[in-house]
Amino acid sequence: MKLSKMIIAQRYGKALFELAEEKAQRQSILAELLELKKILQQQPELLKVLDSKQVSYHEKQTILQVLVKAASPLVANLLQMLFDYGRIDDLAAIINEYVRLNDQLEKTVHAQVVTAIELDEAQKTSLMASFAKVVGASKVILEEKVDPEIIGGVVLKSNNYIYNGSLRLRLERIKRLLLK
Amino acid sequence: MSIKAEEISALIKKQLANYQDKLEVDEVGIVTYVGDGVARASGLENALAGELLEFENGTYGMAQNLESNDVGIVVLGDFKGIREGDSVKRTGRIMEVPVGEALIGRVVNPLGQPIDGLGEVKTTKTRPVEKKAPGVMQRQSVKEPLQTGIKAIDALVPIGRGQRELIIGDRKTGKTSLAIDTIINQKNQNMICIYVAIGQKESTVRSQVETLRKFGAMDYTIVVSAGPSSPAPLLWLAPYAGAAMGEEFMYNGKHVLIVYDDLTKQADAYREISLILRRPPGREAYPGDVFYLHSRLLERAAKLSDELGGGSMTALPFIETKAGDVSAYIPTNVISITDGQIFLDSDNFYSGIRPAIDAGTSVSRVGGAAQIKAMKKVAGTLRVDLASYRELESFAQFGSDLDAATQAKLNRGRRTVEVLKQPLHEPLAVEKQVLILYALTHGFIDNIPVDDVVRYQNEMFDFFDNNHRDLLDAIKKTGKLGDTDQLDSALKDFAAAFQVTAK
Repeated sequence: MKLSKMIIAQRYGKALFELAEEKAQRQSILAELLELKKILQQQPELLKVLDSKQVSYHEKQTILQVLVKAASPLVANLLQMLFDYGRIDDLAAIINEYVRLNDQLEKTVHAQVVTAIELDEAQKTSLMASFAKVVGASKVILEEKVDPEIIGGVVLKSNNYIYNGSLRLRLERIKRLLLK
Repeated sequence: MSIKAEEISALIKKQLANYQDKLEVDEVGIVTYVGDGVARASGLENALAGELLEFENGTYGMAQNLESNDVGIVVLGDFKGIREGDSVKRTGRIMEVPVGEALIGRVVNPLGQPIDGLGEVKTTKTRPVEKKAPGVMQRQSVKEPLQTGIKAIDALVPIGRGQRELIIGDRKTGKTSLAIDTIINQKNQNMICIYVAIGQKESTVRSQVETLRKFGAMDYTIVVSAGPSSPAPLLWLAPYAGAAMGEEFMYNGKHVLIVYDDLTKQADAYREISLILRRPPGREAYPGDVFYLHSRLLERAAKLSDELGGGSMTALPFIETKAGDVSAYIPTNVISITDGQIFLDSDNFYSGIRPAIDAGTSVSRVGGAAQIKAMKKVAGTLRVDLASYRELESFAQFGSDLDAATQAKLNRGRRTVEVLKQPLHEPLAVEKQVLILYALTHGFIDNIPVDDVVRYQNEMFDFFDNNHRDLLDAIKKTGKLGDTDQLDSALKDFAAAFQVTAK
């Protein structure tokens, strides 16, 4: 039976992470992988071509070599190995797993913050500081989104939790209370 | 004008004063699969088994499978509004249904929401749908009778309060009618009845409810219905919801009769859910825990100890067989769980023996202890008589030269079968059952032509109602036969007056 994408990503991601840690290249590899992820996002067909049965092996190799040549030895090996084993399709998931392990080690938390109007720098830093305290992290990376629908307040989404402090929810709650 | 601005604004002010501004923190997951009453969601790492979850469109779900990467959820309600990528949040509660007196006389769905169009059910209490059954020390043995009002059952397979008696038979053999008649007979018996219709046609449920209403039985009955068009999880949930509603009364010292009509359909619904949740299929494609599905449900029927109020919950689960095959998977499971079974035979049914109870294969393992003394006395030999009649009946078809003893047995047997017949929705009080069975076992009916037995019985009841009310009352009151000489002479008086139909 084919292993699920999740399990493959966990195994390869962990192996790569431990190896990088051993060789003290954790940060440089992280940067490289994030760069790789950007390429994948810009060229959505890339993985499809590399995984395709219709494209000949040599053609695929030529495309892959462009990536491999530019990469450091560890990442180059990873790409070549994934391609040889027919797992290149799982590259994005492996990168995500690597990032997740790195975040865990550095106690970094990613959060999506939704506000009705754009936040200024001072608000952002205070939000980051207080959220870091709540979740016990040392660093918070915010991804901002503006949504006038929430009327006011802040909604924070992070790691399967939603911290909802929006004015919209409060109004809804008052509505429910009054209708009861 | 009834709206007064000052009053209302004062009210709102009061409510708003209690309103606390709180940050809402929810744990959410993302739906990755929806279909056929089941959803999967990634995330929700801390969800508990059986926890209630809420989807974005307000539909509730129940966490069933907790796996390494995702959670399998059964959707309780409309799953069409749920999309892949929707969020689903934990509620921290387990599945509960509203319970209490307000439900009596109502028709509700398995979530306790009314479906009879009579407005909101005003209950204040709720109870978890899945609850552990009372343990050994919380019970006592079954000792009070539950009078079904059906001669064949009360005489041959007596049911006690707190018992679990399976009603099994092919389709169209009168299973539901048996339950409806039993419910009708519970009037003024200090009983609360719950009729759980699982996968029964809505039109059928409607006509059952009308029947119950016509006989005044809705005054003490709750109907829980999950129709064939409801999603499978609701069909699966319905009996548990019904049991939770019954438990509320049982733990308050009351007596409850609960009818699960029928568990075959519940097992089918559970199989559907399990297969979609990708649990490994076993025999007949049912999941491995299909036995537990029924055993944990039926174990909740109990006779509670006196310290707990002495309430009881009697369960009448139904199983539909295919072509009389009781050795299929689900029938054998449920037979082994229950304290006996009433087997309805389609051959009997079509040859006019209604209720079509097969006296040979029907048993009751605990009910005998709950039978009233008079009934025990008159019904004692009935089962053996019937069995030997059946044996002789097939034998007698081959020749006509039979000795007098055999003729007498056949004679008695034919009349026994005739006496045990009973029309629909005419349950009989226990004292009258005792009376007719007494007349039968003491040979008063032996000389009556078979065609006249029913008329004989009815006229006898009228005769006793008019002339010997005291004898009937004595049986009802003491539970004993009392003075048999008086009974004999009264029966003789009646027999003398009875005119056999002229040929």
